[in-house]
Amino acid sequence: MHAKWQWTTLVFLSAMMTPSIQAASATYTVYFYNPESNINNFVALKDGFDAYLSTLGAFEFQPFSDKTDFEKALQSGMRGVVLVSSWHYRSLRRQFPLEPLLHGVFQDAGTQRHILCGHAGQATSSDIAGATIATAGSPTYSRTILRQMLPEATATATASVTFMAVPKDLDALLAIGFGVVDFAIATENTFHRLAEINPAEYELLRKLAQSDEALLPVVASSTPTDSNVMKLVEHFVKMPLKSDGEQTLNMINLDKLRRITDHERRLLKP
Amino acid sequence: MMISVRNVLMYRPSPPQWRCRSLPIVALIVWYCCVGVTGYSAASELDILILNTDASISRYRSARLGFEELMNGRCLEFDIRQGRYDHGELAATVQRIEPRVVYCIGSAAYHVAESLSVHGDILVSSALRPEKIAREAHVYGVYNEPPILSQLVMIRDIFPAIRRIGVLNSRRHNRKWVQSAKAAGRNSELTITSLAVNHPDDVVTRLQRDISELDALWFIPDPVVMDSEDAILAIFGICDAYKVPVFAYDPVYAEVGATLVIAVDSPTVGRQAAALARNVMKHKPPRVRFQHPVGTRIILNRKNVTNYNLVVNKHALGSINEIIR
Repeated sequence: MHAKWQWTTLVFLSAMMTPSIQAASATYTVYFYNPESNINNFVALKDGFDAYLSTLGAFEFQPFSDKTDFEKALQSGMRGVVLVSSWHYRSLRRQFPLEPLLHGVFQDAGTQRHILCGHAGQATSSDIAGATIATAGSPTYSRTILRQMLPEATATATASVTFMAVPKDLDALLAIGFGVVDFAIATENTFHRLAEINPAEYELLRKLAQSDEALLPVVASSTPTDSNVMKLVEHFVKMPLKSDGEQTLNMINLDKLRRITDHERRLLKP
Repeated sequence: MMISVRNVLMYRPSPPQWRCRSLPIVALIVWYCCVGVTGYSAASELDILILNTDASISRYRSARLGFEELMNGRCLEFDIRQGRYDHGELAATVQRIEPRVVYCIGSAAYHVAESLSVHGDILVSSALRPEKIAREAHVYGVYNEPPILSQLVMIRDIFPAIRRIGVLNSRRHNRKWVQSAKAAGRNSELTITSLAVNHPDDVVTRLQRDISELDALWFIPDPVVMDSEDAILAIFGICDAYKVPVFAYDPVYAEVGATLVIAVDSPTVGRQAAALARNVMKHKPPRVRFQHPVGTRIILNRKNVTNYNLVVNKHALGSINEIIR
């Protein structure tokens, strides 16, 4: 009888403790979605991030290709951090109480611009109505950034544009020379990179408009003081110190992630 | 990306015992219902017919999805795989709906379209030997291989230290291609060297003779060079022994040791075809009737990068779609 009670007590205590053990060891997720670039190297990204993060704790990387799926995942109970474009962060924080913690850095800059390019000597930004534009961003993002770049263009003109999604910014820029599209939207960095790797092709293009400077992707969380979130943030900051970590960040066009300043926090306000 | 199933009617002929002559009519009725649901006008819905050589093949399926992305699902599709379709039914459907554009995915689909009395324009992608098809005046389309310029730009971006690139080729099939590549290479400060051969037996000797002068080998489709599977494996084997990276154009070569594959991105091909279709339907002639594919899918073999001691531009890693570790 005594032994039976001991067993019962042990089972009861185990049952009571299980949820707390589960909670402590539950996986924290990095939810990734970036509508600014047509990132589709998800297998490689998941491999790279998981290889780095899984050695440091119960962390996993979860990339999304679809905005709705991404937001549904957050709604169904977010545990961890989001790694999203700063543009998307602005709209996301209306739905979720997210606190920005880190932002991306590429070639020593924490911000980037998008530009609208056309064929030098042929295209002007006033020809935008009915045009086809190559872009590596999502149609929603591209239309928003186009309106920002061309404030003088009528709503009808920008609404009549067809966006042709291509895998990368370089593809978008080269599509103009092939006569496939009228314009391209790309980052200013890529435009300058083309000047280095193929000056002749670069000379064919002309920058017609540019967007405002925007912060590179941000890491944010609704539970910034959670000890596991704080650990995750620390691991992100140290990521470039490991060769594999740096290469994985490079695959999302970042060199490193650094802590956000008050000034940068203000840039993220709508 | 989510594609709404109700926007798309996929017509696959049933096995013979189930097939009935009224199936296309039933399909059209169902399709009209879908049109009602999605809010498109019936007239515009009837404008496009897709003939797919084999919808179970990934690159054909991806091209179709890319096409529908820009056409908002306004298409009727026939999967004609392996001759399992009824030509009479298809011909009757074409006569009934009189599509303004027939989009053929793959060579077999194009040959079927040619055999039908199609009054509208024909659009072709993912076809073998598209150069021949491109000569037809009423045909629009997208070529099948990544353009020389895109490949060179990506190579130069990813491997900044590589400057001397050899191309095994036969003059009979690729003389003009090599001339274009040499000219395009100069714009990216790359020296393209022709390793020309007349006979498959000469390939190994030619490669062994010149390989020490090369930083990389650019593997292009050439029937003399690619005479047999053994010949292809021999080329990759020699390059591996000399630690010379091979750049190829099709993902299949990633499995035999290519260090970099720059392939065509099939969904982009479909989107290009859709943009062409829209122009044709608006009677706005496209600037280029037969276009180069503008989207690239890049695979990098990191194992080779390490083994061959290659320098990779870390800021180009964002362009890589797949990494082989």
